[in-house]
Amino acid sequence: MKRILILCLSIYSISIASSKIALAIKVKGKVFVIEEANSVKQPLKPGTPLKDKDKILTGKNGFVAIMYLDDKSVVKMLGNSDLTVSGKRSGTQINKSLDIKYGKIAASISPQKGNEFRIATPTSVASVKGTELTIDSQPGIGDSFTLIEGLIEVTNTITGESTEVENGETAVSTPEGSLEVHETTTDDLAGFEDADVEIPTQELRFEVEDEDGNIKEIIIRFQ
Amino acid sequence: MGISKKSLFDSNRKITIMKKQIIFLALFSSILLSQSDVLIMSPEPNSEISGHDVLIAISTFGMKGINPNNIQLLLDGEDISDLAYMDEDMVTCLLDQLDPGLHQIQIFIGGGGPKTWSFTTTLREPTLKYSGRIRSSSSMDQIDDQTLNISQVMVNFKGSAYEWMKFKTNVKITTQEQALYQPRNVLGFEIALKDYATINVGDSNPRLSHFTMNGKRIRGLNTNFKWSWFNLHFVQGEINRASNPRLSHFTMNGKRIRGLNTNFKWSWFNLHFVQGEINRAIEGDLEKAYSYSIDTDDDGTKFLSLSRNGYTFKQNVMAGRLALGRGEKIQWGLNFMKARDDTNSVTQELNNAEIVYSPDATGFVSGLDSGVVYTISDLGTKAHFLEGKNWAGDGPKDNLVIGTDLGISLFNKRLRLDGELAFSMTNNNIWGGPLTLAQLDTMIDDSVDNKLSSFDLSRFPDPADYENILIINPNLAPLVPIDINAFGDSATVDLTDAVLSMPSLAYRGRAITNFYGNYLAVEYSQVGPEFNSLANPYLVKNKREFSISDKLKLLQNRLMLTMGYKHQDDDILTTVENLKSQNTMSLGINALPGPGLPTLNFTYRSIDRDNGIDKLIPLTDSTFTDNRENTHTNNIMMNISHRFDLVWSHALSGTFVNVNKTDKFTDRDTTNFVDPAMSTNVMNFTLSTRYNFQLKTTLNLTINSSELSTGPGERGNQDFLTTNFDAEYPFFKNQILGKAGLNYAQGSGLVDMSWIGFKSGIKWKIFDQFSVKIHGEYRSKKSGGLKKNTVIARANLEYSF
Repeated sequence: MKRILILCLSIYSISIASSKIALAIKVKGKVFVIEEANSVKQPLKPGTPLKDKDKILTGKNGFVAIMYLDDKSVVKMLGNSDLTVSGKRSGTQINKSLDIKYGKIAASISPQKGNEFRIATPTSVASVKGTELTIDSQPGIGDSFTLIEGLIEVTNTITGESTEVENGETAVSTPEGSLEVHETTTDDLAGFEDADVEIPTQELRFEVEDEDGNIKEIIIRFQ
Repeated sequence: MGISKKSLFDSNRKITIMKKQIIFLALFSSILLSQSDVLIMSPEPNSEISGHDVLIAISTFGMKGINPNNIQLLLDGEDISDLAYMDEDMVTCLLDQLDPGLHQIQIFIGGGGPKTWSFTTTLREPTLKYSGRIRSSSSMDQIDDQTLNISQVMVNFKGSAYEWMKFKTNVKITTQEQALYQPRNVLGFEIALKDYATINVGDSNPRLSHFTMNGKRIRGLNTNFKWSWFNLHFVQGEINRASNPRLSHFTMNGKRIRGLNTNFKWSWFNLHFVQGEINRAIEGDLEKAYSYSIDTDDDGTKFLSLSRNGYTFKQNVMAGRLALGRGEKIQWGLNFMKARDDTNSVTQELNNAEIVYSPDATGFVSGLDSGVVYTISDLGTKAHFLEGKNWAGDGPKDNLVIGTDLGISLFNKRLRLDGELAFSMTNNNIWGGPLTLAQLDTMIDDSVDNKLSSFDLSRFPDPADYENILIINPNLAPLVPIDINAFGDSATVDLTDAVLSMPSLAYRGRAITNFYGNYLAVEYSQVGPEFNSLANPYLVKNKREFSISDKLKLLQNRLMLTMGYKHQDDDILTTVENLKSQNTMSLGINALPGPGLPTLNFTYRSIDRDNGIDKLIPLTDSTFTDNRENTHTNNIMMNISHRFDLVWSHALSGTFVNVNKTDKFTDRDTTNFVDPAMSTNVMNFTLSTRYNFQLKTTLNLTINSSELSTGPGERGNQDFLTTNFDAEYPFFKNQILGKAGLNYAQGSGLVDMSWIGFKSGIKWKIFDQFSVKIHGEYRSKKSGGLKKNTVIARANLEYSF
């Protein structure tokens, strides 16, 4: 069985020789990969190399973690997600971007040495240099970008409004054009339990509640 | 040796190892490689992982001279190269199962020594894991003459046991909790058994869908069961204390309830059921609980007639949604919401309540002194209590909403269609209960003819028989939900028009497509003037809206073009005389060229607003009233942002906003008319700098200039300048973070004012899990010759474990 898998991986790898950018390091449930060239939907296995413009789809309880070859940046996809991984090999680096159609994504991005890691959704574009974040994108509802660590810039592509998001903050970008940043609450990370992300403890928080019982959390961080 | 049941120990493998070593030695001196460029991808050095499906992966990306044939991979000293995939970029090897324990990986690539690292495999996850956080905060805000002090403690605890159980708590106790208001304390506990069941007790935030329930807090029981095709979601709680279920956009859309909230799913079958309270009963301020008048009894004795005020009825709610379809591609739902005030929840006699007695024109009550404060118990027989139906406060309500919705997603959610229709009936005062059929007969006219106006009641059911569903009496809105002129042989109104213009009907439809970088959205919605859902009280009524927007993403998302059009009016009822409307057109251009280059944004919006009145209304004294409104507004926003390094790292942002509103009528009486025209210009500059020595500063400057009407025939200008400077710096290896800031503002023109303020604070990480934060702010404000101060002080403690 193992040899068959190696053979499959070898054949697959030959077909994408020299354009490999990442590797599937963990796969659970139903996960598929679609190559841009042949549009064939194949099950994704751990250890499978990924190349530029590969589309990955996860089923309802699917999960996959992919790692870029150059700097170990990790992207985790949770269930019911659609993501295209892109990367241009340039010397010892890969210029990376993600195109999220929908779903829940958690990413731990290493510093990009002068390049940016671009994350696009139907509603927003985020420019990332080095950070850990989660993205929840629903085309009809909008996106939420929750920063666990680092700094990103989020742009709502309806209005062009941009904002910086720091760790402990969540930016919500909607198809109606609004872009708001609020302090991250546990609700913002709901559904990301399998991605092993959580609000770091190096923060000080307190909650404020309005007359309607809605809670906002104020966060003070160490640099 | 840990590799399970694989033939790693057979003799053939040993021969293979020898061959590999010979090849390796032969090529040893001919390849020059740097082992330091090898990236260990999996498993991480010194990590603890499950022994199942262990992936060994190494990246050699960017290394030159790699020959896959010369790579050797060893696990615990045994060569597993034959099990691995190798090429010039990577080495991977997936192993089904490794025995628990410490393992070592060695990889030889070309010359030099091996890259070596270790990891540990376990049979299972640790049986019990937990973490938590305890926070407390105290704040004192003194703003002008008002002071607000708040203290609260929050406890969050979460963990997991074995691989199948997770739990967490969410507790907050605050000094803001008072019986006079809706609850402020939070008490929540959740336990999850794998994916099969989740049980929330206390406060939780159920998330069912965008419309039915989308994260608003509830208090009560919130359970979710899943098994294969079967899904059950059950919530019992209070809207106002903790629960905000969303059944649909119109019926129930996030209002907090307290009670029972359940959701069942099985294959294509979905049932969502809610029962609880929208409001808890509040008796109100004891000093304002009664109003009174002086009345005379049959014996001619004066007494106080007391009426209750300032109360809130407990509001019970029951709601449900039955849906077919999983929602991933299609779901059709039927929903209802039933809410009714509990008339027994407000006390008629509050003995501790107070009134200030004073006689009026009708006379005085013997034994009571003018200007004296009396408690209700003091009044004795000098006061009579009015029945509830005569109270001055708001009457108890009854509300029924029924609706249906449909959602379709196609082409991997690239095409989304939504539609919803809902109808409501609201009784604004249910004191006295329902009408009988006989009372209905004579409600509009006095003749006993078994007709309501021209509507035949002979086959109409008795409303009293349905009081458990809805109390029907003259306070029902609408009493007749559809134009009755649409019925009968002599109908004067088209039935379709009559249905679509029903005052308590709401409907909407939306289509969203996302193909080829083109995001197109079309939406239509209408909410009648009398549509009412007590579980969704924030819905804007008497509004019809059509919108279309399109966004093009070009040059790999580096250039975005957005166009939109929206029309809004109140042309819902057939009786509308003056049609109010607003048309908005928008255009947006966003350029995000990439790292090192500035980001540019431009937005233009044109708004035309008309209230449908185009004539002056003459008055009897030869003057006239001008209620006409027809304006045009141009709104321009330009922004440029740029990050750059110049000695330090900077982010510079400049924004310009112009709003110019003009009146389209030119025949105004300018001396007596408040001109709606106005113009505003705003310029903002922000510079954020991160220095090499960990200092971070932010400088912000905003200039605002406006010209607007201040009264009939009068106009004025108002200018504002505000500036802020904030800095933060970490001390003692990030153990203490210091923050300070200055802000200054000056306004001139219609209002002359200024303020200056400063703030400072620290966060001290006493040890890894324990920290304290102190923040203080002072602001001195001068306006109209008066000087007032604001003082804010806050302290927070946090312990994490």
